[in-house]
Amino acid sequence: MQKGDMFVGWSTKEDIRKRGGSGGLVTSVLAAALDKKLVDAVVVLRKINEFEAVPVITSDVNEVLKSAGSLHSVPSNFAKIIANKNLKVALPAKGCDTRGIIEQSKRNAVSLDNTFIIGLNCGGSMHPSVTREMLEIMYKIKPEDVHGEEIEKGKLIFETKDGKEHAITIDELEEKGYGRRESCRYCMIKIPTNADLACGNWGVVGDLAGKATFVEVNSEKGAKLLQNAIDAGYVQVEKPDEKGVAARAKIKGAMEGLGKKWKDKVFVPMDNRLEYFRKELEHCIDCGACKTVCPTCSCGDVSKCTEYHLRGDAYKMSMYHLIRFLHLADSCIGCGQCSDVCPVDIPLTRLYRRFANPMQEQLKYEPGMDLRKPPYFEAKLEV
Amino acid sequence: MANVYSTICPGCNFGCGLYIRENGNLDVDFRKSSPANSGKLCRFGMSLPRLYTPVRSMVDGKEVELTEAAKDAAKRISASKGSVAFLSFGNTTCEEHLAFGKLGEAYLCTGADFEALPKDTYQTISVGIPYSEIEAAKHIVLFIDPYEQYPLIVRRILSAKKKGAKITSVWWKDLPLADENLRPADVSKLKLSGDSLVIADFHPLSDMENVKNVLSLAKNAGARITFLKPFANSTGAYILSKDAKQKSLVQLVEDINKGAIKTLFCLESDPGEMIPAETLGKLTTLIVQTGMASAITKKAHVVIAHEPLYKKKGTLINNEGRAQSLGGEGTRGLDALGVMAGVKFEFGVLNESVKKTIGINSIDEFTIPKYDRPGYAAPQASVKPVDAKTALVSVFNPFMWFGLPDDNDFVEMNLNTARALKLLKSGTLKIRSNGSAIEKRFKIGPVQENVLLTGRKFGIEKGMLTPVEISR
Amino acid sequence: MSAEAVAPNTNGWEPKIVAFCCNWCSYGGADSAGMGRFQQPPSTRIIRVMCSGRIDPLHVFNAFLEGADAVLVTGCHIGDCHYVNGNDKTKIKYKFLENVAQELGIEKERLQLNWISASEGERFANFIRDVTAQIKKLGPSPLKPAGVV
Ligand SMILES: Cc1cc2nc3c(=O)[nH]c(=O)nc-3n(C[C@H](O)[C@H](O)[C@H](O)COP(=O)(O)OP(=O)(O)OC[C@H]3O[C@@H](n4cnc5c(N)ncnc54)[C@H](O)[C@@H]3O)c2cc1C
Ligand code: SF4
Ligand code: SF4
Ligand code: SF4
Ligand code: SF4
Ligand code: FES
Repeated sequence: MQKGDMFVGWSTKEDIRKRGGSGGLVTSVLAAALDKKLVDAVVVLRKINEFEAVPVITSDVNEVLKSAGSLHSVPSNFAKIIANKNLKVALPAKGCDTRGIIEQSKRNAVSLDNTFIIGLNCGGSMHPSVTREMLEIMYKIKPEDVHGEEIEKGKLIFETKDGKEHAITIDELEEKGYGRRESCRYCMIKIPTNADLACGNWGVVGDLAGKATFVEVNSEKGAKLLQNAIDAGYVQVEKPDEKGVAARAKIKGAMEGLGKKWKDKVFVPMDNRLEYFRKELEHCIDCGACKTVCPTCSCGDVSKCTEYHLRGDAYKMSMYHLIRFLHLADSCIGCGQCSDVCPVDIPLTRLYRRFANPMQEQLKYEPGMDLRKPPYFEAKLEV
Repeated sequence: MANVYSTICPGCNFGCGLYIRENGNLDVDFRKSSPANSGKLCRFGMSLPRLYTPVRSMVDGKEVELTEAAKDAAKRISASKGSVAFLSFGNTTCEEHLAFGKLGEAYLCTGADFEALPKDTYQTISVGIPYSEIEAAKHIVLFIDPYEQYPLIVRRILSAKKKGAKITSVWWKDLPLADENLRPADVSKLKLSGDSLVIADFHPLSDMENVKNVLSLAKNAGARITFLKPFANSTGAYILSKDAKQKSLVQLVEDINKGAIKTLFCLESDPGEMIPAETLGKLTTLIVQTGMASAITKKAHVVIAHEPLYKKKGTLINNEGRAQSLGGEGTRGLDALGVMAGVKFEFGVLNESVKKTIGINSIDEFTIPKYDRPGYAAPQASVKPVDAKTALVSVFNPFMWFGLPDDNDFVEMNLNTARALKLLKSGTLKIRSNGSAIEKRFKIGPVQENVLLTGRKFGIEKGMLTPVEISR
Repeated sequence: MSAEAVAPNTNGWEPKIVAFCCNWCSYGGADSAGMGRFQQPPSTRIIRVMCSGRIDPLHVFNAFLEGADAVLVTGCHIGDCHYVNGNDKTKIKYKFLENVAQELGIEKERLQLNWISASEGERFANFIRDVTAQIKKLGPSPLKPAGVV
């Protein structure tokens, strides 16, 4: 097995295969890594209900097995959970988790040698509060009655406990302000080629659809991880169908096209930008959550953005935000965490991306996608 | 590996859900599915790792086991019979509060001055309006600074504004979210209607005449009114002790001052921020039962250290009346109260009784129980105009109630006032009151002239509004 | 040259310009501008740093927030930095600064970079004069705090 190989695979444990997002392969790879001592711990989501789960670091194989399944309304990011822990760890990771982990490694808070990243394809995640409201208002169903959910042919389908399916197109939902988080709509990393493995249901066709996971091996570490799971009898794989490989590439292309459209829609050119930024930021209460949650920052409590900002300053714009706009211009991965946690609902990701989009384009730098040093830390400007 | 607790922020009665992650130190993690706050936290919520500092049970400065401390406290309480007061602001679970009510029957204080209010207003004061209703209001009138005092209400108000609501603020400072900014002295210009929703607050240091005044303003206009409160379980504590005979904080201070109260028992409550130090000094015995260290645990004769709130089992009721369960397992607080009361408090029994009081069968954080919203007669109020030329206004916020230091060692003031005093940039301002003087840095803001706003206790205050003299 | 090098018409308002100069080159340039009687408007506050590489973006932000109408980042010509490559790093930081300023909607005249050697007094004087003229046209910075003239 080597870098570039593609497979479709599934868990050999029937129960995991059934509960898994698309075959339970990810869960089984994680369990096998733990079981065979490839790692000391894994990160998984401890599920509370369809709309709530909490990331935990665990060495308990049972906890891992329990975590099978995709939760689309749990927009977490695992990068900071493993930062500064010095753990030999494996974890599932969407594009933004992976990018966050790689950025943490550039800041010496994570050692990639000791981190096995099982990438998850990601078409987007939803904020749980928004999902609940959407269910009540758009679908007219009680969130508690939801049993499962899937995305098919551009529709978001909820299955209720009575076995009924309820479908609405994602376009319509997003038109009304529901659906995926805004940052996910214009995120361009649909298949995490930056992770050790990239897993998803795209490309699983025929009889296996819904019952297997498509895996692409992106690195030697990825090969080791998957081989370990096969050798340990946790997963079974076969060569993917040609048609599946093509379908996967096609959906990826279509999703990226949609992402580009959203990007153009959200980031329209603007006059009076200073006024715009000041208006957006005038409600800021200095809670610091946007910094704490940011998966690319690794300063800890003592950071430039906080140390040079005083609540007693009566500046037209706070030093905190100015420094963050600058520091994130090359490093923001557009994960949406800052917007999610802002107590006064400032659309922060949109603000940060206003600075990051042109800068990252000019510098030809995509944070979290490879090991290139952030341009700000270079000794000489390359581009 | 690490323990993760699903919990509620103790900073105020808003009911913000979060996770606390124990991993050597404490980390705050966002619980995005939490109904009150969608996982969002204010500056105080983000500071919880600083608040939850470990505390040990102590008797006269000597470390002991919890039970021993509780037994010792029981001895002191019975020795001081007739002169013991029991104080709990509502910083703990409903279950503990019920047990506390039984222990403290003789002299119970939640800090709230219900005595000063007509009985028919109790329910309106105790249980607020659901946040979703605030978001749907057409006209919101603020008698608070939401940014400083109850930050998580800001996004609800902004959401209402987005839907077309008009926001009027009656405050000493212009608020960015308000369409109309009135100064408290101009409250007579306030136009309320049946579409208006008034947001005020209620706490141990509230000026009761002001509370009565907003109650009548709302009543006379047929407007709805909601009172925000500063303690995680203020609503629970008020509902559960509504039939109990209660003493106000003012009464408590008076009774300690005149020697009628010699022993004070505090449950998860720091009187240090609200009762003058010289009054506290008159007590012969101070017993503190709490889950975290603070200035008051250093002064107490007996410290009964149960688990911190995030490790407790139990129910909190937020400002909307929403009952939420804490994610911990701990019931040591109940055990200790049981030792003192001489009974065994069973969590299950108390929990049933809490549910019965609010009329629910099970606790579902996503469903707000139905509460009576009885009408009330407009109370007579006599609001005194401020006669001082200059006043220091305390903007009570969670940091202040908990005595937790924050980056706010300054006063906010008007540019014209600063110019008239010829204040120097980056300089300080002298503030005198009650014979004492302090020197503070200042921040220029859209504040009423000759008013100084502070979010911190400086030690020269007399209530919420202190007449002061200022100079360079 | 010097005769007509009088300050342009002031209209009563003098902009405040903060110029960060490195000790070895541009500060020398400023010095020789003074000694060489190249007249400069009184608008400039010079802040001397050992090397332009020491200028952190936060210093620039701070200057603006405290009321500067323009901020100038100056140092030795590329290749001449007395600490080998300090000004290469300045270039990187400046690129980020420029991006933030532009996206914020701060006019590009208000933030400028220039390499000036110790002997280029005239160049320094001209630079200051040009910037002053540009800023006078623009008026006070929108980031100037209330109460600061
Ligand atoms: C938000 C989201 C969107 C997705 N969108 C697509 C898509 O558009 N196209 C596609 O091909 N595949 C998508 N996937 C991946 C797909 O749903 C499956 O996760 C993947 O095929 C692996 O399936 P499995 O049965 O092997 O995984 P499982 O064995 O079920 O293991 C899933 C693992 O993912 C973890 N997990 C669950 N939810 C999250 C989350 N929100 N964030 C981080 N980790 C989580 C669990 O803890 C578990 O470890 C998405 C996954 C997520 C979480
Ligand atoms: S914005 Fe900059 S200073 Fe602040 S935490 Fe991130 S990297 Fe550190
Ligand atoms: S600034 Fe916001 S969107 Fe960008 S990486 Fe940080 S948390 Fe994510
Ligand atoms: S999360 Fe929002 S309120 Fe908090 S510091 Fe960031 S911008 Fe300000
Ligand atoms: S202090 Fe109040 S508003 Fe702030 S996080 Fe805690 S409960 Fe929420
Ligand atoms: S010394 Fe002048 S730029 Fe480095």
